[in-house]
Amino acid sequence: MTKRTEQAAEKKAVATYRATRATQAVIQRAAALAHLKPSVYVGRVAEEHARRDIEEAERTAARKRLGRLLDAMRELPAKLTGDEAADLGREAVAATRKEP
Amino acid sequence: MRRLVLDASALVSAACSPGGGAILVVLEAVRLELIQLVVSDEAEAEYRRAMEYGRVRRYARTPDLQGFVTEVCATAERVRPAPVKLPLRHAADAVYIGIALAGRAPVVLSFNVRHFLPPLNPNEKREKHPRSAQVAGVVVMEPRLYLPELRGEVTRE
Repeated sequence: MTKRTEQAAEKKAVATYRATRATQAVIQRAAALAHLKPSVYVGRVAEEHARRDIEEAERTAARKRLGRLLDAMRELPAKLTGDEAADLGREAVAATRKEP
Repeated sequence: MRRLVLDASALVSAACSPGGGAILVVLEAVRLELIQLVVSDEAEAEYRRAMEYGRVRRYARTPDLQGFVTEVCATAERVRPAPVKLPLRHAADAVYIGIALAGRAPVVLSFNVRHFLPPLNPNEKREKHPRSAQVAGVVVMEPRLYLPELRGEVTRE
């Protein structure tokens, strides 16, 4: 009895995604492969996907801000040549690095 | 999108380079979503320390160097470096190889390529600033050597 109730709940959890029966079958199959209940599986996948989407949106916004910074840098005259800037990069790392 | 790791020398140089410098071209490619940078907390900490160096503050083309690091790191994918034990001339640089391995980035850009080579043997002579090296399957190179690769990507786009 308990098992049947649980099965019904699992079926409902997957059905709430308004997926077609074929999609539901795919989800149930993938959940079985991951040794997870379908409800746990869809929840986990949805969370991972949401996190990825948020991270990607944040990176896109950061690229725009970086672009604005690079544009602003172009306004200021460079005081070093490319080779001098490379040397300064080496020097700064050597001076600030704490060797273990 | 190409995946890439920048070491602190490359990022410091970016903050001080004149326009058209190879490292700035790389950052423009990041802006255009042609490159995905990969960082770790350790790398960010080293970027921030290096930006605090007096001469960097003096010659930088932006007054907000920490903000610059924040934005560069915000565009990047953050990973935990793979634990690697490599016989490098500068052991501290192994973290960049660990980041590249964890973040599936085939290239590390650095102006300190020699740090990634094995320690010198007695009486061994080497080029002072080698331009590229291969470590644990990761290519470490100076930014200007990366440009032809990037140009290929733009042409394909």
